[in-house]
Amino acid sequence: MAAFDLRRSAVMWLATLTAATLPLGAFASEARDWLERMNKALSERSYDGTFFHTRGGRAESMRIVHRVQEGEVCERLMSLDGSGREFVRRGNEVSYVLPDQEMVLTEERPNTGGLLPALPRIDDRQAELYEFSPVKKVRLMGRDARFIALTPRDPFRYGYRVWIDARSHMPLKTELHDAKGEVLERIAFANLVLMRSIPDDTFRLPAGSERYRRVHSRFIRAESGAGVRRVWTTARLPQGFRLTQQVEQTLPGTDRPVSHLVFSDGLASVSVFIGAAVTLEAAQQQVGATQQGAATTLVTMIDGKPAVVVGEVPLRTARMIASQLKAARSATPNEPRRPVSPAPPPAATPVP
Amino acid sequence: MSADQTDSERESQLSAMFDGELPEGECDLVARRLAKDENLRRSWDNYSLIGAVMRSEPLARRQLAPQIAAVVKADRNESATEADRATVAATGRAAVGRTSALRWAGGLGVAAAVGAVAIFFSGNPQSETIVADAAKNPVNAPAKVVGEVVEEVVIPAASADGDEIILAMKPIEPESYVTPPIREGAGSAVTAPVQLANFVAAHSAVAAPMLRHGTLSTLITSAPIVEEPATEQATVVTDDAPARGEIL
Repeated sequence: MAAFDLRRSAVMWLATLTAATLPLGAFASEARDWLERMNKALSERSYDGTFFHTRGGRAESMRIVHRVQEGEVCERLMSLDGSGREFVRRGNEVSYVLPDQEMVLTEERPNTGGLLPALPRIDDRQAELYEFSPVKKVRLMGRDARFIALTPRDPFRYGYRVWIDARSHMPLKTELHDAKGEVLERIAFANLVLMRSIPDDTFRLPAGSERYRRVHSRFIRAESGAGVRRVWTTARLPQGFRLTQQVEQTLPGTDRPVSHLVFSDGLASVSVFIGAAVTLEAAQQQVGATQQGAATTLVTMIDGKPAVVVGEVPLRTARMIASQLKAARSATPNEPRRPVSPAPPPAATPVP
Repeated sequence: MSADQTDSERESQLSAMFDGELPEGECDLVARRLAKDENLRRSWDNYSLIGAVMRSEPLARRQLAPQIAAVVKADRNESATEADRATVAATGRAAVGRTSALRWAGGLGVAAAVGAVAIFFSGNPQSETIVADAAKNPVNAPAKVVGEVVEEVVIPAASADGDEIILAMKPIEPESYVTPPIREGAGSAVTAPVQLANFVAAHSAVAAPMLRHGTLSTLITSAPIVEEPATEQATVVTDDAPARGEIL
């Protein structure tokens, strides 16, 4: 009898396994491999490229320099048009240079300990959420490339069209489109060079910025030990989205920790910052959303607390996630932080 | 305002005043304290500065608003009048609360950024130590590749010698571009990415690599959305490099 149970459970387990892997057909499997190669190339290779970022009816040229050297990532993203704003990352230090405001915002971010912290993972679930096109061999900008289209099966996510360079695995062009197929955002490289080495000088702050006003802040990841973590629960999430990360952290510019929750469907991700540095009144008055290209930002109230939702998802997805979040009543009762007026007190018992 | 108020409480009060949300009586008290407290005055200065950043206004750097400067000066001479202080209080109420957009900037962006400034002034003596030796910075010449090349994935022929690169872009497949229609809520009146920079930055750390460039671009986008069709068809030539023909 025991042997029969064992056999039956093995069969059932096998069936479950098969069911879990079957939806991802040959098309999807090949597409997934290419997407993973692309993610790896983007994160781990050193490159220098110029791309056009088109969004909201506007094209802006940007230059990206990305270096991975001895495990440290340095990155510089420059707007080549208009204001000449820049983002410079040197290891854990991140600076935003705003020449138009004569200001440099510098933050120290925590060492995440790895190159790819909690990135969305592409797995079998995506075949239920997106329709994968067959991987097509195409030519783009004189290169052999692979074209992959992911069409969303529901309105909770955007679709993607990606042209991946066959040799370097870098994306030559990426498009995000809505359910109607209308392009929301496009990134297209005009030139791209893979580098073996990039000098340190490249990641210095730009000319003239030394005379700018500097605002320096620290990015402190709050201890996630017992007593400080608040537990959030969701009744129902948009299909395919899962909570992939939940940390308490102090964002630059605030002294109060916020809960940073990350939801992902494997491709798109949504960050929810609860207890964000907005005054209660401002949040209540300013509940609203902005959308630029595929980027949605939503300021709202979650369980009586001001919250900011950011993600490359349709507004309805951001709203649904926000509306479903509740503080678990079993959260630890002791709250070490002192309330700061007029912001809402970060008490353990949420205001209904 | 009690004598034993903590710095953060005073900051909060200042923030509320800047947002035009502090009762009139308290505004007067804050104005008095502003006149006496150098640190608080700096904070006010920063509120103005950051408010201007959020609103993408040109800045008069490190200057107190004239009305406030007048009161501060007067108070130093121990002859500030109630009218002067009332001016400060009125300035506080008027500074940000004129429109919902400004209120947004004050309530959200300013609240966030002022904390940063406070940290900057109170606890980080090394914040001025980052020296930008940018005169020698090769990246400042746009799109000039510096370093050891592994593979030129997409690179204009003219740049083969590494000295000059022509940046050319022609649409492979001309497509119509549709401006996203959703711009609802009070926040749409100002450029969201700037106000929400901290959150977008934190989010970019967890976004898929494929989407990161777009997310980060949001942070440094120089201008608000323009409601007109894309103009990608133009050939763009960097700096003084002569156009040598189509690259694609």
